[in-house]
Amino acid sequence: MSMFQRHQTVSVQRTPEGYVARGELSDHLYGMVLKIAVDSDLVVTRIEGEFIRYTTNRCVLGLKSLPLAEGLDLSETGVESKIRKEVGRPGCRHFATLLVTLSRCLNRAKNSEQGAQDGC
Amino acid sequence: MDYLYHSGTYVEKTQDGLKARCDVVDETFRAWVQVIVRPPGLEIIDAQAEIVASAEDENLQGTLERLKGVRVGAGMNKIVPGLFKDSACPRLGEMFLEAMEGVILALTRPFIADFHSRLGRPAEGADAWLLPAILDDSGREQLVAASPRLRNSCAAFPEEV
Repeated sequence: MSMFQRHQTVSVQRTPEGYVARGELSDHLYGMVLKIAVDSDLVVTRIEGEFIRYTTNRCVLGLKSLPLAEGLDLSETGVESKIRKEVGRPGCRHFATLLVTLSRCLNRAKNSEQGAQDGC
Repeated sequence: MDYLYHSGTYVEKTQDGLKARCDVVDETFRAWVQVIVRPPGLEIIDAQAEIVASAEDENLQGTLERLKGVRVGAGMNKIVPGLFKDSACPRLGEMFLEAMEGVILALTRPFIADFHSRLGRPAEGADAWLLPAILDDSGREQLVAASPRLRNSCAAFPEEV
């Protein structure tokens, strides 16, 4: 019998300014959606989140920390720990997890567009 | 759409312990990883992986052997990426971490579910019909009292709950 499941789905689309990405995380505890826009250097220009399922009456306050991600360079080394520390800890760790996934996907989408063999 | 990604993490009980698997598929890569961890220490006793489709062709056996004995818990976020950093497929390290985090969440789930079944109240406002049992201030206080490490971990559990 399943003790736990988590699914994350991300789509990335090219825009004239850079890329937009939409991600959804759904597991046995939480559900959430994150939408993000980045410029062509993968610097975050806009971010919006929405809780679908949460566990406490204060979880939605975690959304207030998402704007802290604006200006982050997602191609920078160490950005994942910055996301977890600066966006996740004061806000919501699960949104930080989803933002890390979006960050990886945006980097891979850009690499793929530039013809890099980035399978692994 | 220019790029699509999906990951699925699954944790279940087996005779040997807890089995956690992570599957990932995107435009250029498809793979799965799986660990079996043994309670109560949660050390990895078996690790497997398969890259079903990728630009790379990687021999994984040596790296998988080094995963055995690594414990789910403190330190894994540095140890696991470190093991895969110099391999031809660092993405597998990310996937093993997903699976290992799944183990922690699987063990946390019944604890949270118990609080929700005993103390859960409908969310306030428009979400009430969708969220019939979340923790209010009193429920959060009792949860933090039972699990002090939650304190100051996120916006839901500030220093002063």
